[in-house]
Amino acid sequence: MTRHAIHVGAALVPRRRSRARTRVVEGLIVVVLAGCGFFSILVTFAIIGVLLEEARAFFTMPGVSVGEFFLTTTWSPMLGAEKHFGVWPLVLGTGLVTMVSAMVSLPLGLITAVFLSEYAHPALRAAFKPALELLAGIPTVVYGFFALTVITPFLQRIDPSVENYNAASAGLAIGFMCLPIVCSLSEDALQAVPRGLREGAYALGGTRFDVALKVVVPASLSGITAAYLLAIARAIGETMIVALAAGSLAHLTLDPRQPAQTMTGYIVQIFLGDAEALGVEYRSSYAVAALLFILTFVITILGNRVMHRYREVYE
Amino acid sequence: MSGSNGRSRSPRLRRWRDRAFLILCASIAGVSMFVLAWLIGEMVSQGVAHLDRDFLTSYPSRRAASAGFKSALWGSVWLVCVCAAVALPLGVAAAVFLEEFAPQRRTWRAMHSFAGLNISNLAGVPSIVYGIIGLTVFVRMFGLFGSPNLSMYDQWERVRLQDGTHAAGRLVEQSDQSLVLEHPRDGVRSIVSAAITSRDSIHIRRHKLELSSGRRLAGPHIGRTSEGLLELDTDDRERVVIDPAEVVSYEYSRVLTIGHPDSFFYFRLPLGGSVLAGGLTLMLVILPIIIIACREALRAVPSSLREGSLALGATRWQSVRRMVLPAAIPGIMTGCILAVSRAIGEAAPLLVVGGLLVVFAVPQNLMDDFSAMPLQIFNWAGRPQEDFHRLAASGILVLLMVLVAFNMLAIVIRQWFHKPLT
Amino acid sequence: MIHAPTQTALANEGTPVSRTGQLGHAARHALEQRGTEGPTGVALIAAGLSAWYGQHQALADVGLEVPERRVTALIGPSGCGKSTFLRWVNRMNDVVRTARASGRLELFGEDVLAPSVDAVDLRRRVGMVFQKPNPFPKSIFDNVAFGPRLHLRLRRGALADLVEMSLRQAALWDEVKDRLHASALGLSGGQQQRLCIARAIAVGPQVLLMDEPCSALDPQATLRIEDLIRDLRRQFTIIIVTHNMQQAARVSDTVAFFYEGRLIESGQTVQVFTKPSSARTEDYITGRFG
Repeated sequence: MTRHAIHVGAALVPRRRSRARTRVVEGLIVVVLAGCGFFSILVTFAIIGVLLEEARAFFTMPGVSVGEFFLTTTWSPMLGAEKHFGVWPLVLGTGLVTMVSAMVSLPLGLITAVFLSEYAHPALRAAFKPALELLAGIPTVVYGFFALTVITPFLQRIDPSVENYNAASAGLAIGFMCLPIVCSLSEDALQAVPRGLREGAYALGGTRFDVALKVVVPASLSGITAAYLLAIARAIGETMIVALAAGSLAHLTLDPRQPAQTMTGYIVQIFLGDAEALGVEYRSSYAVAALLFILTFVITILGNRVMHRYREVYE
Repeated sequence: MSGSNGRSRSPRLRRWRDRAFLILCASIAGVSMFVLAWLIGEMVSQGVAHLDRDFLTSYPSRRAASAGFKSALWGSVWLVCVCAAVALPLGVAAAVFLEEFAPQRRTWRAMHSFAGLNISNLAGVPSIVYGIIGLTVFVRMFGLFGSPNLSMYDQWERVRLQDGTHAAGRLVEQSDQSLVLEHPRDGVRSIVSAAITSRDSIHIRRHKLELSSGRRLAGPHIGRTSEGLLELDTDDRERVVIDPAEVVSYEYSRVLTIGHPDSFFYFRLPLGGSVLAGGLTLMLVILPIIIIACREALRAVPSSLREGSLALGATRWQSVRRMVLPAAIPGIMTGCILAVSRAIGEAAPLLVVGGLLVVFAVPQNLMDDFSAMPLQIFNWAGRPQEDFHRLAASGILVLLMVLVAFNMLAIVIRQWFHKPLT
Repeated sequence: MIHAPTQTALANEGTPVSRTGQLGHAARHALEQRGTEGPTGVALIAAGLSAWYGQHQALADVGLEVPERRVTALIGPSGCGKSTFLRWVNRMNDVVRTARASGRLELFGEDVLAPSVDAVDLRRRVGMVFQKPNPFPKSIFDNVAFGPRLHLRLRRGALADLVEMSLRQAALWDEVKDRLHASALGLSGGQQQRLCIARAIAVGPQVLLMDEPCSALDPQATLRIEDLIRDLRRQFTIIIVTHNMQQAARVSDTVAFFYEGRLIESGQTVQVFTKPSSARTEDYITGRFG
């Protein structure tokens, strides 16, 4: 029997004389793995470093000031000699498009999640999930094309004052793109609520509506908040849809029927265009990218922290 | 008894509210399905016409009827191969480290948990930011190899004179009487304002151009013709007319090369706008996704497997390699396939890194310029003509079919491996 | 508190006194107090009740009468079907997809199993307390007020009075009256369970179902809840599932012994515990199995 045990052990344990060598090899392997593991920290520093450096290079150029960037409201870097770099039109453009998308993805995503979690038959849920994954997996160029060629004409039929490039089509497309994210994260949050709570509510004479809306959703509020935050961060960073459908007019507007250039849309415009690598317009895209990164990073961090906290409560 | 203090809410009303809410929920859930169906339906109706073998085997062109998807398709293939070759090992290794090798000592443990937290945050970074990083790190390589010979003059004035000749150059000085222009070849020249019949200004870049046909030209590019073509004054004093779509690359001032550009084994530093740079940038985009998915897969392996192996005297790495990893393989594979399918659909970072919207060749080596399916679709979609929109729809169909194939593969793997585990 | 089956039991088969000798002092005392109240009506009648979870049959042909305003204990080893029976009384098994039942289960004359029965309304008349206390992550006040808010339209003053009355009945008022708006999750296990009881009685049910309410609690808390149950039986019909025989003896007036889905024996607690008519009942009570 001992011989058998040694056989089994030998499958996993090296022979005696090479144990020292194994230890060295193992150490090396751990170092390599650690290197891979810490690579992501390197990436984060690279992002922060590059963006900060390029933004600094932009702000030290003649004719550009930090004050103007953050405090003025005209963005016209291409207009020949007189260039203005007040960033608010771009921020507002991003805000407008994100708001439209949030109006679609947040409520619809949550209600779909409630449906899947509290009402749907398990077979229906199993059928829904892959469809939602498919929606989430569609490349954003496709959504952009859809916004440009289908949503915009559709909106124009309803309201002829909608322009060919407008914030609403882009916002709607982004909303549908983010819906699966909201739905799946919210559903996780709803499912994490312990069964005992639901049973208690049913036992008190609650209908499915009462249980879902008065017990389960309030109990999973932090998870739902996390879902919302992460979806908004995704919407803010979306590029191709706005590049195709939202237009390149950077102005202060809250009218979704008009074009609105977002931060990401501007960056694409610069990189697609003929601007020189050392010119001030080119550099301005880095400053906008830095602002974009800070915005999304903060929201993502917040969202992840909220999610962490609710996971601790229920696990 | 306590219940008799107030009026009852009607149970019928509550039942109706319950049912109404169910209908509301179901219909809203149906909205997502409806949108999906609408989207696919539209793509199919618009794109099916163009979808034939020619589409897949010909290059893009200015005429919609003969335009094809070949360069985009193969560009995507190259990109995905590069990206996967780097991202998969890196991501799986990182996930293994983060899940299985939690360090004991305090300082390392703090770094370890920070690394894990960091991954979730990196997953939320917009992909265009990764493109910018890729541009600086992989394409330009921090300027270690010089900057691209893009602009030595930013804006040129071009004037037509009374005697019918042209003059062009950088505007040095300007007054009511005269204009001083500096041309790299012709030198500084002063022109009397009265002799000028017309004048315009153009953006100038000095290129060393490489055309898709392989021909190389160098010189200041003077401007565009009325049809939008480029007119290049070469250093040999030739004026060449070029289709801008055929222009392929810049060259850098200090370049390190190994091998010949026409062979498969060509390597060049800086990487420039090459397939390698594009693939590495995509790697940055999907790395957090892979790590998160693999961590989930590793977490799903029951700890009894690990403990049993450790109890038999195996080291941590041996346990991982022989017990945990094989058990987690299906989850890891699924995660990797889904991450790669995400990479196929990314366009924004490639735009920044230098994926050209129109390319007439399939990459021959890692340093070649590239296009990608999403980029080609973007290019066609952005044009005003209906024909190009239909082309874009066809491209989208090809892209979607590739993605569906990947998703099916992931599902098949999930099913196939499910049985041995349970 | 139970003594292991000693030689006394084996040597004295057939002698009632020695069997009560198996039970603890308090249980014996409680038993001796029984039988002093008058007869009451019948709250629940089960006849030919069978229940399944999918293919697995959990109850087979159960016939039982539960008297009004008394405590009826359902006892038996794990998996014998007592919890299943309980859950059918308030149709909690509706949330389990594979559960079905046949036979008759009449609550005050109305067949609970009929498809036309509104489960929501039924659960207003039949309250339930679970094994693991499950207060909602809301304030203490909102927990107790949850039921009344669902079913009644009350003015704020009336609702506050109702909450106070329910908490008093559940013997929790003094402990929480200063912090009604604090989170219910901050209470101890025993307090949470009493809160769940208060919550269940706030809507004024006729029947109170309790599924092993003390099994997750420490002995102190358990005793408090048993006292509470004894008080509550003045107003409610209580059906309690318990695997603790001392508890059954201490707390119940009627007891029903289930085994492998069948009702083996039921009757007055004193009777069943001192002179069980079935050998299996006797074996279970004396601790030979289960």
